[in-house]
Amino acid sequence: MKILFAVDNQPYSASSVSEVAKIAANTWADVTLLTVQPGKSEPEREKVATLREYKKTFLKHISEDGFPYAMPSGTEEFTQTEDGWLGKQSNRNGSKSLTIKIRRGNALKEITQEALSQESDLIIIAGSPDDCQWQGEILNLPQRVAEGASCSVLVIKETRFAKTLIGCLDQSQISQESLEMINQLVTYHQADLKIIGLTGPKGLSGKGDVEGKMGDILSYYNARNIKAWITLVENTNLEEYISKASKEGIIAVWMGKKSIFRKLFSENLVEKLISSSQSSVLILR
Amino acid sequence: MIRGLLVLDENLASSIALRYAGQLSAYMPIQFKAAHVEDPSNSKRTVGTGWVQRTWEKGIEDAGIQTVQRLIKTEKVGCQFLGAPQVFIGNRDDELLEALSQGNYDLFVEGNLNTSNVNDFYNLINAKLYSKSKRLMLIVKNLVNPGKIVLICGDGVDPDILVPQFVKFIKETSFISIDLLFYKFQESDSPVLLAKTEGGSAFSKIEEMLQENDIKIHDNKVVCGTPEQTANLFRGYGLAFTTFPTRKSVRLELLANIPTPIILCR
Repeated sequence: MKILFAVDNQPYSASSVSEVAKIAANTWADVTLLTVQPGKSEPEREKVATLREYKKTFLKHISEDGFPYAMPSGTEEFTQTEDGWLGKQSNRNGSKSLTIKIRRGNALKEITQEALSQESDLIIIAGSPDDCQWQGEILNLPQRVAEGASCSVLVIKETRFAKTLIGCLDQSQISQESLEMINQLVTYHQADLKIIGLTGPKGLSGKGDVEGKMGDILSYYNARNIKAWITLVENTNLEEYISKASKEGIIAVWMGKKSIFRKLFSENLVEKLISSSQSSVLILR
Repeated sequence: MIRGLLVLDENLASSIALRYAGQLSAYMPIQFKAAHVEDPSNSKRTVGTGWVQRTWEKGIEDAGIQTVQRLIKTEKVGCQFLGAPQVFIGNRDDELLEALSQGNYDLFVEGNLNTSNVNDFYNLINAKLYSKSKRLMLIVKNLVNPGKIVLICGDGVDPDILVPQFVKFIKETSFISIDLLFYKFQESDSPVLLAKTEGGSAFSKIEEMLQENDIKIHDNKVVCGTPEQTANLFRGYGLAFTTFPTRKSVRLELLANIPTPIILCR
């Protein structure tokens, strides 16, 4: 698995490092910590310091047993690349990579481009607790990353532990990686999992298919001792339900290419959800 | 030994109910009769084709038995079954009411996935099967370990109905703990625990009656909040027990929102 953790030097990014470290270590992911600066000829000192600091914090949160990431020896230097600067690891003994990188340009464009070029499975980005913004950046940056990315996106809004993760299921193919990401978040937060299934006005739409998937998902999580609760929601009430549920805990929405949520949700729901939710939001693709 | 009628169809709700029944068996002496209902079309039988009708019904019955046996085999649950599955052909509510009466069952069990629509729950418990049955009715909404029970009381709960029914049910069981919860409605941001005196005389009466019957209560509390918020508190329990709500009320809304399996009595 490949995780792209987009950061700036604000407290909301700093306080998310521990959660990212746990998720990454438990999923044995290759991780890139990425920050973006306006086009300049040299990496900004503050950006460099922030990335080095976050990497140090990241490694502190990982147990030394089966340590997958290389411990840096000395100060990590940056070398210039086509799109920015890359931290050069002097010690290559880790089985998984933990890279720090700075890109030049517009934050939204550079984050999504990096995810594309790396073929990231998950982008993680934090935002300010109240309105989920990045200080000094375009309006609604985390929301726009979540909306426009082609991979899954986890927007971290608060670092307190959530009691519930509400997973909204639809008829599209659910990947093993998606199930595992939910598993990791539930485990990290020690939360209950609520699986939401959709019903149509004339009964359960695609009934056998959705029920079958819900049953498989229930079995998957029960086998991992994760308490999973099922709730059916009529598709006409879905948007209202999710808005209420976002105050209850982390929302995870499957938004595959053929996802029914794309049709059911009003325009910009992802953006609205992330802005209004009190907890983190996971957009799964 | 408690006799339970466990109604199964080939769907997720029944799969959950079957697995829950298996877990329930670990805490109480209970045997289940697996049952299935097929509701045939209402087309009139043509004169002279009686043997076709009987063959057709036999075919449906055999298919129904195979459906139930397939489900039981797949889930591999550890509960005792009373003989082979029974298939009824006819109106679901009528057939099951008759079966409950004829078979002298103590408990009716079926799966019914939790929904966000309160009306779904209201329609379920006001359907003929639930409104006419004299038995304990177990609605399995989710799969959860039934070890911890909560007895729900509040406005509209008659202690003289709730306690005797509960005492009869709980006899010879080995549930991990029994809590008593009195629910009151209040608009608030989150559920609030009140002093036990807020439960009033009904709450005290239930506590006394349970004590007189040597039922040990692990924790008793008075909770107020909206039904949706308070329902989340029930995730710590594996089984809720209360009386049938007789009308649309905040208690009915609470029961509709609770994700835990519920036994209703009257």
